[in-house]
Amino acid sequence: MWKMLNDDHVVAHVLKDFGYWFLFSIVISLAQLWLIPCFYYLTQKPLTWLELVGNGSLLFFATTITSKTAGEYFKKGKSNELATLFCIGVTFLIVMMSVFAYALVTAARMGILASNSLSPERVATVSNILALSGAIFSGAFTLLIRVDGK
Amino acid sequence: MMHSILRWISDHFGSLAILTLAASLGSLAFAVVEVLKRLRQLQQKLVRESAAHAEELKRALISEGNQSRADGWDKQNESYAPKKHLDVLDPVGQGASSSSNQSPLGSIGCN
Repeated sequence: MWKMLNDDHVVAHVLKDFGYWFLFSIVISLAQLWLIPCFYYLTQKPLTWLELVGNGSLLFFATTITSKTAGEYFKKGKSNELATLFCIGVTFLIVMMSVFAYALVTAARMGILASNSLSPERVATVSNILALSGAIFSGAFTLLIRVDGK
Repeated sequence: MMHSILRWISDHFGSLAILTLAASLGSLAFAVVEVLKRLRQLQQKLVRESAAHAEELKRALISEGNQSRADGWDKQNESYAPKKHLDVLDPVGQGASSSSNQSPLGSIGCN
């Protein structure tokens, strides 16, 4: 009977873990995206999205959240081969591209590349896409790991 | 070699970013399908365990000679009871011929 009751709470456990993931890995990890605009709002200064993410700060987020999730998956999950293949492929894509994009941003900032060769708009767009990809990947595999773990 | 790879990546950066997004959406779809599959398995397991548990309690009630409570238990848990249980308990089909709501225990002399 206790086993049945425990099974009945699996969905609640998975949702609770997913909630923790959302709070810590998304809301708190991306605190810069809501704290800085709050500060600018309080000081009545204008701030655009381009100024906020044009320096490539979201690329760090994409790299860390993806590699953290992949590490957690290989530590706890490994549900099947297709999931492992997905995990390796997507992690490789996101991490390589984020690192490469951040290297370009740093090179432009240090003057190794011509400063006009890298537009902040393109950096912001690529950052947005990679951060979104990292968040989606992390959410999907967190769900998978939690379901496997229970 | 390295220079040409870097050049190719920087030339196709937009396409690669879109490919990355598509791959992560694919992983999300995969995870959702896996989760739904697991939930279905869990639901089936719960139904099986509930049926087994109901059957176990019913047998306990019968062994204690409390047939009326066993009948009540049957009606209360009829959604859990698989057909196979009825077939096993009523091999000659008397229960089915007389009334669909009648307890199959009558056919094995528990009345």
